[in-house]
Amino acid sequence: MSLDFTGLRAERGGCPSDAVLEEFAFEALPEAEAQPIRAHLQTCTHCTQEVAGIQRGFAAFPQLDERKVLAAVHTRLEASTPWWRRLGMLLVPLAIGGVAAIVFMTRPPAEPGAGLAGPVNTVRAKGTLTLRVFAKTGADAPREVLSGQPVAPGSRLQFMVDVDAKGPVRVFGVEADGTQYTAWPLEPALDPGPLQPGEQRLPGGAALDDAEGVETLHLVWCPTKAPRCTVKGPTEPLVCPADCQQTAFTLKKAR
Amino acid sequence: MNDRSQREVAALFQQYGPPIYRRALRLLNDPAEAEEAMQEIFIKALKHFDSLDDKRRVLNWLYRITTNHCLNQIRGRQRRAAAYSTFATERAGDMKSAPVSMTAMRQLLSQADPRQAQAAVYVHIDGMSYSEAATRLGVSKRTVGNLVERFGTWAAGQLEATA
Repeated sequence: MSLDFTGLRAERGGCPSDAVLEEFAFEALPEAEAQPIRAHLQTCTHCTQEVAGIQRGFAAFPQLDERKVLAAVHTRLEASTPWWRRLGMLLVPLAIGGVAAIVFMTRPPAEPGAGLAGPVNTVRAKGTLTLRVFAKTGADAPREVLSGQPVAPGSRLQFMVDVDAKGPVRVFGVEADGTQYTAWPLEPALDPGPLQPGEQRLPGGAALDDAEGVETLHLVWCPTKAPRCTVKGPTEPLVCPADCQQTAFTLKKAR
Repeated sequence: MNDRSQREVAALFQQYGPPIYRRALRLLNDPAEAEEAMQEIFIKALKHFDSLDDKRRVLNWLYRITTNHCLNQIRGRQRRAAAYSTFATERAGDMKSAPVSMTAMRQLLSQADPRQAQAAVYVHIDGMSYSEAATRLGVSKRTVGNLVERFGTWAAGQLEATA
């Protein structure tokens, strides 16, 4: 009697091994080896999905709380550090903090708004509408991305907006093919209604799909009613009521 | 390994944690065990990242140590009796060529010779050719062939014995 091991793999014969797909997904293969894999992916749904899953990182495992594992890693690393090094690690930041405090106390007062994360926020002309986008992948803390900068597909997005006057807002997305969708609020329950003037975070967020490409986000503010807009084309401004304001943000989904 | 800042460790974890977890989950089929394996393997890997000069070598190294770690875990499991009854049931239909499920394979791996088990995982589960497995394991193609064949013969013998 012989044993048949072919059922252990879901895909059909001729597919690259799991290890090769992983190397491809990590862009670790030299071009000569990557090219046939790329060609194979054109015809194999199974392997395409495998690669996409690998590239999603921890996002592919929604049941896993990777922050907990990372915290445990940090704890174990710290526990294995000798006491004199731990003392050093404690004293160095304190010393740096001391120097920073001296510098801080001897320099002129900062202008309002200074110290906020990201270059977008340094100067804001009155009357402008501002959309700041923060992307979160896996266990990382959300990081600010600037318009046109790459964002990993599958990231979760959070929005900060700055409005000059009270009024409701919406964030609309327009995909590369011109398809319009509402990026915020994803559900009506998340909409707090008209925003007060000033910078504030929008509750909840949006999740990007896994496809690469360029999308445009449009923050729209209207003085009274919730914005209702339509799109003419992928790179066109939204068509919104005349008394509304809008600002666009280019989202480049790339790995 | 403790020279790294928490930020560096987090970045490496973000990059290499998912492939470790993915593989461990596939081999162990137990999210809690896979999570624990990821932690163990990642801490071990932190000592080696600097000595591996490119991403491909890192991945290959992680692939190998994750396989070995999971095989050790599988060997440690005390579930053999239940598994062999599963295996016996599964092969009852066809005596000439019995299909092996992943559950049965894990049970076979729990008792197999470690080198044979490693080669069998690379070839039967990961879909590597003998040549690719040989490169990754650092042995000859002929050796991989021998290990896989001996594993198959041994596994069939186990099956016969439990019939």
